[in-house]
Amino acid sequence: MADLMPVMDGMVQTLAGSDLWMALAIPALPILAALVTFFVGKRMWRGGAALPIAAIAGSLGLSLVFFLRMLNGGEPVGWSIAWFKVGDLTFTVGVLFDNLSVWLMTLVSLLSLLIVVFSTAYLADETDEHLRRYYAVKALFVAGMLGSVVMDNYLLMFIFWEIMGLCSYLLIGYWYTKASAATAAKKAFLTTRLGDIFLFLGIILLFTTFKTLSYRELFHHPDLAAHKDILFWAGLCIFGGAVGKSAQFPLDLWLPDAMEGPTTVSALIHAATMVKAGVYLVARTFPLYVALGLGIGDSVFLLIGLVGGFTALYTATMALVALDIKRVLAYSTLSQLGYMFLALGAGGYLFLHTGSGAGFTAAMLHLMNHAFFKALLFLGSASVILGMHHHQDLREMGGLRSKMKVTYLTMLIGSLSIAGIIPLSGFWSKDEVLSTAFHAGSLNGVFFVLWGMGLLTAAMTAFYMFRMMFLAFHGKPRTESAENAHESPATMTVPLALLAVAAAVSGLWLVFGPGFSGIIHYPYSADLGEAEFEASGHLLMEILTAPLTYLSLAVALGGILVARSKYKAGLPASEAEVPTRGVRGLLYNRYYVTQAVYEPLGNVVAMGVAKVANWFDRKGIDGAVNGVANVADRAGARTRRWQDGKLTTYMASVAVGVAVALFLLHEVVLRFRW
Amino acid sequence: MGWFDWLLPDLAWQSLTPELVILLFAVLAPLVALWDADRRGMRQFTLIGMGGAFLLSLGSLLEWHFSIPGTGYNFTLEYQGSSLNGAFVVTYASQFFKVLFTAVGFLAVLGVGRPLKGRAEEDFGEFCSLLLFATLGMMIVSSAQELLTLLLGVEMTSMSSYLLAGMRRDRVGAEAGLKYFTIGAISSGLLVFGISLLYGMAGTTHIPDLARALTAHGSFDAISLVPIVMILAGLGFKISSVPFHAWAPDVYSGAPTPVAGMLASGSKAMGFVALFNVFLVGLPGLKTNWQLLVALLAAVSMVVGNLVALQQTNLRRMLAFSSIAQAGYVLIALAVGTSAQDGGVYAVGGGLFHLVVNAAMKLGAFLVVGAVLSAGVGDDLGSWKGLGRRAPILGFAMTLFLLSMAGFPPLAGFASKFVLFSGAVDAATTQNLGWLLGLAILAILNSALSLYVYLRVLRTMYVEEGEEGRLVIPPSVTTAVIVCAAFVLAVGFWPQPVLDASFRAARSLLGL
Repeated sequence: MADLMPVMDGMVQTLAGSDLWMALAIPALPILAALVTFFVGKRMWRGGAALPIAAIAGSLGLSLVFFLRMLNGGEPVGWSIAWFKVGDLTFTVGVLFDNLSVWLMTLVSLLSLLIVVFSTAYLADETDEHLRRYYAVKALFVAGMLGSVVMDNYLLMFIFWEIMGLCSYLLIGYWYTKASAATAAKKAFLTTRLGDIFLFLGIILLFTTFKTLSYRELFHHPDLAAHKDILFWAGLCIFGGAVGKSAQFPLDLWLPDAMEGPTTVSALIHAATMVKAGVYLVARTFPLYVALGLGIGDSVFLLIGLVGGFTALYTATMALVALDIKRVLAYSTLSQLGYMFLALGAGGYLFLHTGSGAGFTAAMLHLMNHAFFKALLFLGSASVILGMHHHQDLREMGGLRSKMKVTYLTMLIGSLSIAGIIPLSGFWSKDEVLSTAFHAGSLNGVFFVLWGMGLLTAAMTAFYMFRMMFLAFHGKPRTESAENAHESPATMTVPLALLAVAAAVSGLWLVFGPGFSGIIHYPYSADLGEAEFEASGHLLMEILTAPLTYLSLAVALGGILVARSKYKAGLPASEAEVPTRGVRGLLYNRYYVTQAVYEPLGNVVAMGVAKVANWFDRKGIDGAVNGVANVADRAGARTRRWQDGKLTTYMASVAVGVAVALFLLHEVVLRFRW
Repeated sequence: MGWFDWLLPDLAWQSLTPELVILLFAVLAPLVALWDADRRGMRQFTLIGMGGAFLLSLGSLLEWHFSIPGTGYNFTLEYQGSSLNGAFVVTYASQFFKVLFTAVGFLAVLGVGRPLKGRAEEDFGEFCSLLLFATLGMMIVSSAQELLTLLLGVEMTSMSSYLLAGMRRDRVGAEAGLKYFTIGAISSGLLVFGISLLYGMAGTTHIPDLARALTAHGSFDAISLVPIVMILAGLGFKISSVPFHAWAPDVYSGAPTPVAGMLASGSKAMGFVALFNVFLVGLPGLKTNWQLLVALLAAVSMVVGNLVALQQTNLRRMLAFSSIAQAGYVLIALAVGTSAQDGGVYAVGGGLFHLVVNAAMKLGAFLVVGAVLSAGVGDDLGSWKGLGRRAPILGFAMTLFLLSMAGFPPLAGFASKFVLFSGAVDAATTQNLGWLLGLAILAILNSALSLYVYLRVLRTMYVEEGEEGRLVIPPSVTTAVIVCAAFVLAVGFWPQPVLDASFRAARSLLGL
C-alpha cells in the first residue's frame, strides 16, 4: 500500500526524466505566469487573466497525472539536489510527491482554477491595470501554496509559505483606497507574520539540532529521541506558525477582517490555500510530534486539540449573529479549521496511546470537504453580492431564491453539506472528527469536553448557515437591490455547479471504492491492516450503526429547524439593528476581545513606538527634517542651531553610551562574576 | 633595487598592487580633472582605477594564473604577503574585503548620476579622489594587523568621508559634513584612547601578540573594561550601532546618495572588519564578558533601528535607520564569535556573508533613491506614489533590495540572515546560553517587523497612484543598480560561491 511509510524510512524513488520536469512544472508554471502577467499583463485580455488560468490549468493537469498514478497504487516519488552548503551542512532543494502532497496539490490547483475562472466575470468591472496586479499576485499566491505543499523540506516550504503570506497581504488590500481594506491587509499580514516568527525559529531549532531540514531525513533521524527537549520547543514553534496561518485562537482575528478583499480572494484564502497550509503543516509535522512519544507528545497533541476545539466553538458563536454574508462564512471557516485541528490533536493523542490513525484521516478528509463546500459558499456569496449590486448585508436581502436559482440551489447544497446532513460530504468528515474526539475522550476526559464542544458547534453550524440561507433567499425582498437582483453569468454559475457536485459527493470517498483512508492516513497505524481500511463498506456500516452518528445528525437537523422557525418569515424585528448590548452584542463584537485586548495591546505597542520615535525626535537625533527647512529659510540661522544644543546632544549620546556601557560591564563583571 | 630596501625596508610589493593602483589614481585624480571639462573622462578614469584594483583583489582571491606564451613567463596572483614587520598582512580575509570595498567604490562612482548639485559639480575631480582615498583607507584596515595601522586606515576613510559627506555645498550638505566630522572626531579620540590603554596593558599593539599577552595576563583587571568600551564606542561609530548612531540619519540624507550608499555598505563593513579583528583575534583572552555588552548593543541597534525606521517618511532616513538595524544583526556574529564550539567560524562567516549581502542591497537602494532624486522626484514617501510604473527597472530593483533587507525568501538577505541567526541559535543550544537564544529570537522578531517597514514603500510604489510619465534615469546609474539587483537575486538563488568565500574569509580572519 502506497503511503507515507517509505518517506519515513527515507526510501523514496527518485524522479527522473520527463516525470521530473512535470513535477517541477507544477509550482513553476504559476510563477512564470505571475512574472509574465506582472510585466506585460496590461496589454493582454482582462489584464492578463488568460495566462494564469492556463498556467493553473497546466498545474492541475500535471497534478492529475500524479494523482491517478497514486490512485493506482504508485509509490511516493521525490527528487532533491544540494542547494548550498554551509560548512558541512547541506541545504537541499527538492520535491516530495507522496500521497499527502499529491492529493493536496490536486485539490489546490483544481479549486484555484475554478476560482480564477470565476474571477474573470466577478471582477469584470475593474480596470486592466488593477486586474494585471490581481492576476499576477493571484498566480503567485497559488504558486506559493503549491510550492509549500510539494517541497520536501522545511526551508523550501517556508520560502513558499512566506511568498503566500506576502501575496495575501496584496490581495486582501486589493481595494487599497478603502481604509478598511488597507487595515485588514495590515492585520492579516502582521498576525500571520507573528506565527511565522515562531515557525522560523522552529525551523532554525530543528536545523541546528538535527543538521537537516529534509522531511525524509528528519522524520527518521536517529537523534530524535536524544533531543526531545529541543524537539518539543521546535514542535510548539511550528504549531505556532500553523496557528497564525490557519487563524486559530488567539491569532484568529485577521481572517474575518480579510473579507475586505474581493470575494474571490476570500474564496481562495478560505477554501484551498493559505489557511489550509497551517493544517497541512501540522499534518506534515505529525511524525515529529509522534516522535516525542508518550508524556510529551500527547501533551502537545492535547494542546493542538484544545486550540482546535476551542476555536471551533468560540468562532461558531460569532457566526450566530453576524449580519454580513461574507462574515458568516468567514467565522464558519475558522470554526471548521478548528475541527481539523481538533481531529489532528485527538487523532495524534489516540495514535500515541492506541495506534489508531483515524484522526489524521478525518482531519484530511474534512480539509478536502471543507475546501469544496467553502469555495462553493464563497463563490455563491460572490454571486449574491454581484446580483445585489455589491450589497452584502443580510438585512438588505431576502427573496433571492426566485431571482438567482442556480446560486440558490448550489448554495443550498453547500449549506446542507457544511451542516453535516447525510449523505453530503460534510456529514462524513464531521462525523469522523467527532468520533475521533469521542474515542480520545475515553483516554483523557478533556477530549470528552472537546467532543461536547464539537457537537455544540455542529448544532450552531447548521443554525447559522440556514439563518444565512433563509435571510438571503427566502421571505420577501427587503430592499430595492434585492428586488432588482439578477442571476450571474455562466462563467460564474458553471464553476458553482461543478463545486456543488464536488461538495455533495466528495465525502463519499470515505466509504466507497478503496476508501479515503486507504490513500491518506498516518503510517504505522495499528489499524492499518484491519478491515476498516481494506473494505470501506465496513466503515460505512460502522458509521451507520453508531449511535453517535444519529446524535450529530439530530443536532444538525435541530439547528436547521430552529433557524427555519426563526427566519422563515424574514428578518425578525429584533435583528434589524446592529446588536450592541446583551449576549448578541457580545457575540457580534467578538466577545470584545478586539476592544479589550488587541486594541489596547496594539495601542500600547504603537504608543511605545511613537514614544520611542518621539524621544529621538525631541532629543534631536531624528529632528533634522524640520530643522533643515528652518535653516534654509533664515540665513545665519545655522549657527543658532548649533547653539540650540543639537550637536551637543549628539555628542552627549556618545558619551552617555560609553558611560552606560562601562557601568553595565562593571556591574555585570563585579557583581555577578560572569 | 637596493635603494628600495633602504627607503622602505619591508614591503611585499606584489601583494600591495591593489592599494598602489588606488593610491596612484587617487593622487592623479585632481590633476586629471583639470583637463576634463565635461566630467565624463573623470568618471571613466576613476572607474578604471577602482575596476583595476577590484580585478587585482579578485584575482588574488581566486589565485588567477597568467602566463605569456612564448616567453615562458608566468605568474600567479596570490593572497599572501607580509609588509612592515607584520603590520600589514595580506590574507584571504583581507583580499575578500578588498574585493568588497573596491566593488562598492566602483558601483558608487558608476552610480553618480548627474554628478553633484551646484558648485560641487566643479569638484567632481576631488570627489573622485576622495572616494578613492576612502576606499584605500578601508583596504588598509582589512590588512592591518597592528592597532596603529588599523587606526590609520580608519582615519583615512573617515577624513575622506567627512569631506565627501559635505560635498553638496548647500546647507544640508555642509551640516551633514560638519555633524559627521564632530562625532567622528570624538569617536577617533575614544579609539586612540582605547588603543593606548591596551598598549599599556599588553605592551604591544600587534593584534596577535596582544592576544598572547592578554592570555598570559590571566587575572581580571577592572582597567580592561575601559579599552573595551572605548574601542567599541570608537568603532561603533563606523558601523553606526546605537548609541553611536546619531550622525547616521542626518549624514545619509545630507550626503550625496552614492556616498551615503558607500557609508552604509563599504564603510560599515570596514568597521566590522576592525571590530572582528580587534575583538575576536586580539581580545578573546581577556577575562571580561564583553560578549554580553556586544549582545546588548546588537539588541538595542536592531530594535531602535527598526522601530524608528517604521516612523520615517523620508526614504533616505528610513534607509539610514534600517542600516542601523543591519549593524545590529551583524553584531550578533561578534557576540556569538567566542562562544561557539567551532571557534566562531559559523557565526563570523555568517556575519561576513551578511555584510556582503548588505553592501549590495544598501548600496543598490541608495543608488535607486539617488537616481529618483536626480530625475526630479523627491525622497519622501509621498512623492514615490506609482513609481513602479514610472521607472519599472528601478522599481523592481528597489523591490528586490527592500525585500532582501527584510530577509524575505528567496532573496540574498534571507540566506544570509538564516545563516547568521542559526549560528546564534546553534551556539545558544549547544553552549546553553539563554541570552544568546534571546538575542536570536529578538533578531527574528525584528526581521519580521522590518518587512512591514519596507512593505509601505512597495505599496506606495506599486499600488498607489500618483503622477504619471516615465522618469529619465542616466544609463550608468541603471547599470549600477542592475548589478546590485542581479547580485541580490543570484546570491538568493545560488549562495554557494559567496557563502564559501565568506566562510573561508572567516577562517582566515580568525587564524584557523
